[in-house]
Amino acid sequence: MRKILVFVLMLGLVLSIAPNAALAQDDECVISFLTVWSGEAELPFWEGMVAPFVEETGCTIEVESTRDLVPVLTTRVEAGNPPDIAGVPSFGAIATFLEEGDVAPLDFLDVDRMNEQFGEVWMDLGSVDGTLYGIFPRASLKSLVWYSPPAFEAAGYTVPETWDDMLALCQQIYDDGAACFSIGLEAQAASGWPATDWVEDIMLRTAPLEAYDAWIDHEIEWTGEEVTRAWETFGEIAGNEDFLFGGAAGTVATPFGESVCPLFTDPPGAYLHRQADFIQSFIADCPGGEALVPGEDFDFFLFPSINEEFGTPGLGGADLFVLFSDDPNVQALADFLTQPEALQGWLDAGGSGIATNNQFPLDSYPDPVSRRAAELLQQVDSFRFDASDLMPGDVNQAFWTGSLDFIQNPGSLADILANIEAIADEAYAE
Amino acid sequence: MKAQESKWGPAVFLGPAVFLLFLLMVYPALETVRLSFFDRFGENFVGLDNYEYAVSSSRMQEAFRNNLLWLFVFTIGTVGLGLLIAALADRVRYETLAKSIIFMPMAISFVGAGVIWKFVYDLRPTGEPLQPREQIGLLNAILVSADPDGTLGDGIRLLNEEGIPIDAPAVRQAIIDVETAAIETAVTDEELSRSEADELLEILPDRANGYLNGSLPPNDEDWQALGQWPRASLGAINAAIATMPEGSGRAVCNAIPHVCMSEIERFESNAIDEAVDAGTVSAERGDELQDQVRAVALAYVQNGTRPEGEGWQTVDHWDQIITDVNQVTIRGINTTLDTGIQPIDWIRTRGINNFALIIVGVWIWTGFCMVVLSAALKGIPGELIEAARVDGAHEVQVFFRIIIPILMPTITVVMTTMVINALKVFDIVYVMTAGNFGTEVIANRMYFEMYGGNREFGHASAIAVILMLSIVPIMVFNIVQFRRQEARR
Repeated sequence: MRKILVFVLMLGLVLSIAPNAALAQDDECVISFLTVWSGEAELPFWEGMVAPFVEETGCTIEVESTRDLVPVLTTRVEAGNPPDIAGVPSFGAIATFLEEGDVAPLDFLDVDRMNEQFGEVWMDLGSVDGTLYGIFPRASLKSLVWYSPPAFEAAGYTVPETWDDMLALCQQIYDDGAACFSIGLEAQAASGWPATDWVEDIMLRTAPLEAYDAWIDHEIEWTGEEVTRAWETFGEIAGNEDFLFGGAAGTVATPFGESVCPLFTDPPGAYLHRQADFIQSFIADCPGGEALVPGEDFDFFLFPSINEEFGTPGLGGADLFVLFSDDPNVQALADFLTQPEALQGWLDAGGSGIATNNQFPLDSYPDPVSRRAAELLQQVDSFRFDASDLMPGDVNQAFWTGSLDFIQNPGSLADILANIEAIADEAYAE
Repeated sequence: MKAQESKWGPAVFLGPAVFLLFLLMVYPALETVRLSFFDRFGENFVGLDNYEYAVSSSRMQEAFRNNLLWLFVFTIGTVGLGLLIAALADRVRYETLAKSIIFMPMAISFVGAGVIWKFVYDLRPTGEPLQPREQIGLLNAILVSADPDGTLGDGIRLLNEEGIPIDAPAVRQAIIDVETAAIETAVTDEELSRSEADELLEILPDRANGYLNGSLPPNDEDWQALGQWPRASLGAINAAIATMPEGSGRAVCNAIPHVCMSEIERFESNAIDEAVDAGTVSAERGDELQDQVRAVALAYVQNGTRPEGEGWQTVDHWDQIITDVNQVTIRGINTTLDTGIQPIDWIRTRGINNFALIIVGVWIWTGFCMVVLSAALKGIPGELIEAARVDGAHEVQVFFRIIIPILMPTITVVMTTMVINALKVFDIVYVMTAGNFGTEVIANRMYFEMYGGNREFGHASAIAVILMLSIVPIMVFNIVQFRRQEARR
């Protein structure tokens, strides 16, 4: 009996060790890659992206997917077995590794080429204290308002140029018997996030960029003037049930991916939808959505300026890759990812995204809508990352939940902000 | 040989179980207790800080309140219904079938049940009154099908200060004007023939009357064919009010602020342009004034504040507007649009959502209570009940005086099991609301502290320990009761 038990335990041990044995062979080119991408979502696009590199060098890229990226990364770095390259959410999340020198600087890249092809914005975002550590092969732009040109034409509406124009248009749409915006905040445990993007976009347009950055670091309070004003401005649309498709109840109950669909019903239930460039793939899933032609049946305009002084900054996100190895093969991969060809594979595999490398030819985008989003990204007055993603997880959570409460009860804004402030106070203290 | 066997035998058989139990239960529990005294990384000792957080944070207090609600409503619901069904189904012919059906939800995972009920409670945004009222959620579909055309509503009504409907000739005329124009446009566009249009025009006054007094549905098909009824008519009402000759301006602003505001803005903005064109105001000052129009209109609507400063007096259109609107004879006018029975957002409306979630729990667990109680019920000797009946007790008396007392030990065991289930409820809440909208519970909070935000090992562990400590006494009580019950057999 005991022998069997011992045998079973030994077998378990052997099995658990076995996969690691493969890593021991150093002579082959094997690059380990740690990412949150898994299964059908984005991992195939990544494979398409690196296919030319794999073909040329014969290297194998071993992908390790995890939902819990930071803890897994922490464990592996602490154990002296870091991945060669990792996609991380932000530099903030890996601050300790940067301090301890675990992250490899990208000094092997041609600085002149990088500066020329990526420009100041991305070089700054990829650098810590003047040293380049991160590369961004792909970005997304969130400051987009989607609409249906045929519906606009039929109703005689024009694309608003300013926030006040947009409010006037909303009033007109309401008077004509429809809803202005369709917003959907249902996203299971992450419910509320689309509203946080709204507040961030508005914050960028009603306060200086310094205030936005200070907000991320909790150097200004949630109950302070700038943040409160951003929420109140959001309330001019989101706090007015007349402007929302399905009112407040419909807004909190509708899954975010479905909320773009009322733009394409006949007659339209709503005329506007604010969402990042990825919403294109959701439009195709709407009833009759496959027949909709990008650029003809649906299009977007840049989220309009609110206060001329602050212009129209772009809000968005980008994939950040960092290296934990100075192996020449890994460096070659990093160099490949900064080339304009890299994004091509991603797009060819069916992924969406905007090139950060300005050498990427505009006519290589699969449709005119993506192309225009890419053009816009080059044109925005400045670019900022999604603030909530850079905040501590607790604060991000409270931000999501608070926005749900705000839609249900706009009058309780002061309480909502005081609550987030209390949570932030604690979260940043640690 | 025999002695040796009896010495090692139990150890060999117990060993793996004890080992696994220690590895998977005892060790993690002890480690959790340890972590609950350390910071979020499990590195530095922080004393009772995590416990202080666990009892004082607002989300946790909400969780405690909700768990208490679960504890009472869920426990009473499952045990009460279980007992009722067990007693009612006891001697019917299709007892097995009935009990199998009620027991069936037990076979569904809680996450699955959450998903199923999310569909039952689903709310489709209805959008505007004219849009289809289709609901895919079972409950809302039933609700809405009771009033498919929205005819149970009152339609548009004008109400005075006391909420009593008022007759408003100007409004009726406005509706007739708008609809007449729509019908004529339809004729021009060849959507309607002349004779069809004349028929409609003839019944138009009656329609407007019926519409105003609520006897006609707001989404009547004849009108839908013509476009934006009733919203266009609401617009017409607003326009009519805005141009009414004499009355109380503030009252109108109180009743329909957005109309009042846009009217003032429009009037004022035009007046400024006129003044600039006439040369009474400089172009620069004109631009300045234009920038302030919205703020000025808002201030008036909200507080009745009149604008001050150079230019406003010059423009001098302000008092004109107020005089115009002041002449409305009806005071405190109000419009309402009632489109009948509306679907309900069951899991996101505070006040009902906790009960909606508890019902899911009851749906799952009632079958379990029923089976256990039914088994105990079968164990009651028939003679006992026969004797009671012979003595003249009727069925209700038999149930409360004989059956319930005999079942009491079993009911206690089932009840404590349900209390434990109520305290550790997680899946249903996580799947259906993720603890938002005031439905937070302790176990969900624990999960989010751990995985949702900052990976707060300390907070999550402290919450886990509190949950464990609150369950242990009930568990011990449960086991003692169970043993006592077994011993009695």
